[in-house]
Parts: sequence; C-alpha cells; structure tokens
Amino acid sequence: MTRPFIEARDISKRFGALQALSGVDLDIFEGEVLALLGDNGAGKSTFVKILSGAHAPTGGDLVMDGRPVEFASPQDSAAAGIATIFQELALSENLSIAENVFLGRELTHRVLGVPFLRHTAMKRRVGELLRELDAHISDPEVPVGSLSGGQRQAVAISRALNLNARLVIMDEPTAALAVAETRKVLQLIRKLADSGRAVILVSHNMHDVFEVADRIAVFRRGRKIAEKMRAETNPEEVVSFITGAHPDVRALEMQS
Amino acid sequence: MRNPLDWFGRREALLAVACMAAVLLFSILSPYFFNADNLSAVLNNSVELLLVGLGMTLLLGVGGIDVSVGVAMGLAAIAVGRLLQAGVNPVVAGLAGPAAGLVIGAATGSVVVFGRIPAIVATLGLYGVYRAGIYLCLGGDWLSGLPVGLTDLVGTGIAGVPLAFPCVAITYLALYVALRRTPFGPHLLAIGHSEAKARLSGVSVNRTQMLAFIVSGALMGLAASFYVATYRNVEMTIGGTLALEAIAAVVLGGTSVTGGRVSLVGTILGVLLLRLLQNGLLLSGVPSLWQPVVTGLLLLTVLGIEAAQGRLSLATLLRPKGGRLASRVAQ
Amino acid sequence: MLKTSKLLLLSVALLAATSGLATAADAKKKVAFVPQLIGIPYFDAMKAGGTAAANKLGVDFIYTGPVDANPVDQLQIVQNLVNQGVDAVSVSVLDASSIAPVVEAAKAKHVILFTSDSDAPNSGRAVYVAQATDEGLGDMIIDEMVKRVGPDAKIGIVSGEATASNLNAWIGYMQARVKDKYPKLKLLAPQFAGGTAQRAAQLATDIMAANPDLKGIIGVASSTCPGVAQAIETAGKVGKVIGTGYCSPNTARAYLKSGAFAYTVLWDPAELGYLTVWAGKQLIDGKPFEATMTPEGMSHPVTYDAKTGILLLGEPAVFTAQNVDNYHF
Ligand SMILES: Nc1ncnc2c1ncn2[C@@H]1O[C@H](COP(=O)(O)OP(=O)(O)OP(=O)(O)O)[C@@H](O)[C@H]1O
Ligand SMILES: [Mg+2]
Repeated sequence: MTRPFIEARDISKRFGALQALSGVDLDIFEGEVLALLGDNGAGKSTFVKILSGAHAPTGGDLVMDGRPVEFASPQDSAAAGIATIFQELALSENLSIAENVFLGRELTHRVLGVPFLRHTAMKRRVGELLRELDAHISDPEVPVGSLSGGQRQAVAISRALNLNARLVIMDEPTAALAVAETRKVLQLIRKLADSGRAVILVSHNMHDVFEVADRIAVFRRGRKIAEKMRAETNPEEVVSFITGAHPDVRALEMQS
Repeated sequence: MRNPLDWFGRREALLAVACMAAVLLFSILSPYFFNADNLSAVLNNSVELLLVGLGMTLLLGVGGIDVSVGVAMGLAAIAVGRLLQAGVNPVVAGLAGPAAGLVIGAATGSVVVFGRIPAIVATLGLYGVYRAGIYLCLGGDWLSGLPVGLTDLVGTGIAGVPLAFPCVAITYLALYVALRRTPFGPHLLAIGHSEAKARLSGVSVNRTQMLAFIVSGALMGLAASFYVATYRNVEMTIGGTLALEAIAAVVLGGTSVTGGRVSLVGTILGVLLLRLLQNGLLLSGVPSLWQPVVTGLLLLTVLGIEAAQGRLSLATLLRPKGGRLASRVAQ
Repeated sequence: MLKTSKLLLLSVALLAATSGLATAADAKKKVAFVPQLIGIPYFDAMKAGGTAAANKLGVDFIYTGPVDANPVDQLQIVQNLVNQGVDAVSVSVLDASSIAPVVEAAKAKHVILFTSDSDAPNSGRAVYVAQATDEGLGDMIIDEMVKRVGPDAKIGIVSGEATASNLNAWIGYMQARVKDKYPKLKLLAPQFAGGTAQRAAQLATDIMAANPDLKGIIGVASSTCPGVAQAIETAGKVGKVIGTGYCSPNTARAYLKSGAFAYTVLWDPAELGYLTVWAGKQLIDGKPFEATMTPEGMSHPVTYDAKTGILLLGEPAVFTAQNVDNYHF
C-alpha cells in the first residue's frame, strides 16, 4: 500500500483533568474517505482540531509525508494543505460570502508594500466555486448571516475547496441539512476523494457513512477502538462498537 | 462596492438629518449661532474628538475599547509640550505627538492583547497608570503658555486651510482604504464578530488587534499635537472625559459597541452632532450643566431604538437588500 | 507596581525626615509643615517661605508630605512627626474628617497640632492659618475687573466642577459683591467646564459668541484659566474681552504677557508658609494671637479671629504682567 499522507501516532489530549484523547493511532490516505464515528464526547472533534492546528496535542506525533510536523495554529495546518470545516462552521455572519471564503488568505497585490484586496478576482473565484457546488447562491457579496444552514455549509465547503487542500476535514457537515442538500454534500465528498484528496468525515449518520466512506474508525471515550474497511463491516457491527456492546470493546474495557 | 451610497446607510442618513435639524433649530433659537465664526469654532473644537473617535471606531469594531485614550493623549501632549519648551522645531514637535501616541498605543495594545486581559479592564487599569504618569511628568505643575510655533504652523496650514482639515480628511481616507481595500477590514470585522471563529479561520488575531491599537494610538497622538497647538497648555486633568466622549460619538455613529460593525462616516457625524448640540444649547441659553444630560439621553435613545429594532426584526436587518446590512463596513 | 513604588518613595521621604531630626537634636524648637503633596510649585513656595521664617525666628523647619495627595499617607506622616516629639506640626489637611484622633494623640504628647492652607474646622486644632477668605477672593476679582471695564459691563464665568464647594463659594461672593456695589454690572450665570482646558476654551468661545457685548471672562478654577485665555486669543479679542481667574503666576504668565489676561487673583504661598512657621513659634512660646498684628519679618498686618480660631494672611494678591515675574509657583 502507498505511504499515508498523515500518520497520527499515539495522540493524546487532556483538558485539565479530562482525558479527551488517549493513544490514538490513525493513518490518513489520499484518495480515500475516512469516516470517524463515536458517541457524543468521544473525542472526534478534538482529534480533528489537532489535525487542523486548533489544539496542540498533549502527547504523540503527527507525521506528514514521512516527516514529523507540528501545527502551532490553524494557519500552519492550512499552509500544510489541510482544510477544515469545523462543526461550529467558524463563519463570520457579518461578512460577505466572498470575504468568508477568502478570510485569512485574501488575494492581494502589493502597492508600496500595502496589500490591496483583489475584489474582482476573489468574487469571480467564489462565483465559480459556488457554481461547482451547485449552491444556488447568485451573489457572493451577500452577508453570510442571511443564508440558510445548507447555504452556509456550502460557503464553508467553498472555503475548503478554495484552499486546494490535500486533506479536507468535515466535522458533521450534514447534521443541519435537508435531504437534497445532504445528497449534494455527499456527492461532493466523493468527488473530492476521487480527485485524489484525502477526506475525513465526522458523522453520526450511519447511512451517510456507509454511502461515501472507504474506511471507518470508531472512537469511544477518547480511544480509537475499531478501524475497518467499509467492505469488511456493516452498520450493525459499527453501532455495537459505538455503544460498547461489541465483545472486542468489552474485552478492551475490562482490561483497563 | 455595488452601490456608491453603500457607505452612507440608514444610521448615517439619520445623523446627517439630525445635524441639519440641530443647525436649523439653533439658528432660530439664537441669533449668534449661524455665522462663520461660530460654526468654524464648532469645527475647531471637534478636531481632537474626531481623531480620537476615528481611532476608537477601529477599537470598538475589533471588539475592543480604550478608556485610557484621553489620559494617554495627555502623555503624548506632554512630549509635544516639552519639546516646544525646549525650543525644538515646531514641525518636529508636532510629529512627536503621533510618534509618542504610536508607542503608547503599542503599549496599551500589548497589555490587552498579550496580557489576555479584557480591554475594558486593562485600559481602566492603564487609565490609572497613565494618569500617574502625567502626574509624575508634570510634578504637579502644568505646562502653560507654551511657545506659539506649533500654533502658528497649525493655524497657517496649507494654502490658508488650517492643518486640521487635511489631517482629518487624510485620516478618514486612509482608514476607509484600509478597511475597504485591504485584508485589515475583513479581519477586523471578523474578530469583532467572534475572536474564536476568526482564529479558526486563520486570521492573525493578535496582529490585527495590535494594529488597531497602534493606529488608534497614533491618531490620539496626532490629537495631542492639535491639543497643544490649540491650547498651548497641558493641564493635570487633560483628557479626563475624552475617551467617554469618543465612545459616545462612535456608538452614536452606528459602530457596534460589541464589535463587528463600523462606520467611519457615522463617527464623524456623531462627533459633529455632539459638538453642535453643546454649542447650540449654550448659545440658546441652556446652562452647560445640561449638556451631558442631553447628549446622554441622545445616546440612550439611539441605543434603545437599536436594541428594540434588533429584537423585533433581526431578519429584516440582515436581509441582503432590505436597507442597511447590519454587516457591512459603512465608511 | 505603582503601589510599591509609591510606598518606597514614602518610606524614603520618612527616612529623610527622621534622619534630619536625629542630627538636628539640639535646643532649637522644631516646627513641621505637612503639605498635601510634595514636589509641586505651590507647596515649594510655601516651603521657601517657611524656611525663611525659620531662619529669621531661630527654629528648625521640617517639610515632609505625601507624594500623591493620598490622605492615608498624609495621616501617617503627621502621626510619625507627633511620635517623634516635634514641637509643633502644621498640616494642609487632605481629609478633614480623619484628622481629629491625631490631634488628640498630639495633645497627649504635648505636641501642638494646627492647620494651614486647608482646614479641619472641628478637629480641635490649635489654629488655622488661612490664606484668604472666600469673600476676600470674590470681592477682589470683581473690584479689579470693574477697575478695567467699568461698573456697567457684561462678564462671563467659566468654573470647573459644579460640585466644588470652594469654587461655588467664590462665585457666590462675586455675585454678592456685584449686587451690593455694582448693580449695573451683569454677571452671567456660571458655566461648568470640569477639569480640562479644551472644555473651558469651548465654553469661553461659546459665551463670547452668545454675548457679542461681553467685556470680561473669569476663569474660576485654575484649570480653566489656560482655556479661557486661549479662547480669547483665538477669537482675536485680546484687549476687547478682559480675561482673568484664580490662577497661579506660572499658569497665567504667558497669558498675562500676551494680554489675554489682564490680571489674576490668588494669594502668595510663600507668605503663607512664612506665617505658618511664625504661628508655630508663637504657639510653642505660648504667646497669644492678637486681633491685628504684624509678625516679625512681614510687611503687612494679619488678623486673628478668636471665635473661629482663624489666623488670616490678609487680602489676596493680584498678579499682573508687571509683577508676575517676581513669583514662581
Ligand atoms: N476546549 C475544550 N475544553 C475542555 N474540554 C473540552 C474542550 N473541547 C472538548 N472538550 C471535551 O472533550 C471531550 C471530547 O469532546 P469532542 O468535542 O472531541 O467530542 P465529539 O466526539 O466531537 O462529540 P460530538 O459528537 O458531540 O461532537 C468532551 O468531554 C468535551 O467536553
Ligand atoms: Mg464533535
């Protein structure tokens, strides 16, 4: 098999007294959709935030293309080719769609050292992205505060696409969406992977996961307790991993 | 900018109408109000508040505040005054104001940004520190009757136009361009809206906040130079109420107290309205004691209307074409 | 940080005071004066006057006080002086309500405690050495104004804080003087500028705009003087509108010279300092104050009111372009 794009090795994270993650090993491959599942508070978002530079791990390493990396900030992670759509979306409702898509990495040209915004170029690019997503938003100048949940998700996805990232992380992207919009997002996820990107999808929706994921990892109480190729498992088994009913999990939890 | 009037929204229009109404009313109430001498005196009296207010607009916009800006201006004024006393070229002394202001702004910003102390608390503390600084610098004595060099320079101005006008105009234009045409604008507004989200989006929060404090500091320092030029005096109590007046004018102008929305034109109109009211009320025979009451009530009314509107029709405020976008930078 | 540096300064000041005491432990009587704060020209002038009196009268003069007008620090300094057995201690009181217990303690140790420059009326102090009466100040500024604009004129008033009782008292006596002696003089209602020159200038400008026939403006708080003067200069009304106020020569010097101010009224703190030390010596010697007397080394008589226990320096001083350079406070 090919070398993973990112290897997470023995990752742990404490928030004060709370052990949110412990000893997580996980490989992330390009061209593959990896689904993260687990109960509320299992540590999925925490893991994803470590990959995106929003949290620093308490222990363990990230290895990228065979070399250890450290992300001190979301900028670092973005620069390394990781785009994250956070569960809480992190959009600025008071800014326009175009401003949101380019926030923190605006297109500029320098005049006497002053970076001037390239409004037209950014608007054009956002228009293309929205069309590609089939988002039914005609005007990239509209403030995000006036958009529906699905439209906001589309803006967040545009942001990730615009990064031209090697890894796109989506934390529960379909949670707030209607059926049709969910379909569109799932198609998009597949398209991203088929174009050679790595995708991490965090979701509680078994149906969605089995539709698009290539590989499935289950988190429970801060640990990765199972990792299966989709073809090797089924929804029932995954559910039993999540709830802790599976014999393997019981054995594991008896030990510790 | 799709609509050329985009920068001039509902609040700005309201303020402009209020200013005109005030002019009309006071012209009727006092025969001494509507003449060139009086109106130019009103403008002259607005210069420091305009500069400090424009700086405060950035700070409120980014979700910060600086209640120490008035006494900080006192420190910058001491620098300017001492240089004038020492017989330094007035151009140099005048430029020392913004330079000193920039340094003080950076110091204030550092305490807020790197100390991770809420701006209101940090600057309240710095208010005391800077006040003590003024005291230590002046030693209980004022700088009085300073040399007229800077006064003449500012008064003569360029081609007969007093220096204050180009200074305020250039400041406005520079801030407009910075907010509208550079990443500083969206970054500032994103942070003002939500610091955490801005951070996740890869905005350099610390840098943007520092920049806002530094720019506000430099403008405060420029105001100090004008103060010294105008009054040739630095008193122990300098700038005591300036920060609050500035905050009032800025909020009146439509900049959000909690950040995420700014209006430069609003600030300018807010300052003018405050000064027009102060002048007009006195000329109409209302004792000066009532001036803060009137301006206070005005502010409460505006904020009250805003709060009511926000509760009743957030959706309409936010709808793209429904009047002013709550979101846009109104310059 | 601020607090510790302040404490440091305070202890240094105390140390200096006590060590001065130790070396000067001879037969000479000791009179101390504790100002509201040290290092400002006003109290420096009082110190100079006190030193002159000490040399003339043959006593030791101790001058020590807080660095930032903090009443607690001041009380501690007074307490220390009392404990060290200084013969007479005078205080320019910061907090009138808290000084009484110290006066008691001083009596127990046979130390004479009295007030100067700022009083604590019901504290049991031996005497209050007063610079001028509110009435004297009010009368003087009006009389001097009438000398320059005549008895038939319109005069504006710019005061400081509306809550400052001394400023309001002066304004009250100005109004009373006008009513009694110059019924044709029109004194406009006072406008209150708070503490800043900017606001004072704004109000003075507006008063001149609202009253084109204005003949004079009085800046009541010393903080309003520069603003009033500057407004007169900016409006191009030097000579047409007579500016004045209760402000020190240092504050008013430039404006007296430019003509924006014709005069200012205040007292001479050097004389006040002299009288303070003289009064201390008088009390130590057990000599009574007479209703009118001329202390040794002073050029004019002072008055004593036995009922209120106030020793009054006399008429306020008037500073003009001609005499201002003789004063440095
Ligand atoms: N910033 C934080 N500070 C303290 N505790 C945190 C923080 N973020 C997460 N936690 C805690 O860490 C644990 C894991 O949270 P996490 O958000 O990773 O769960 P999750 O698997 O994403 O859950 P959900 O499915 O509800 O999104 C939870 O107990 C949560 O309360
Ligand atoms: Mg989560």
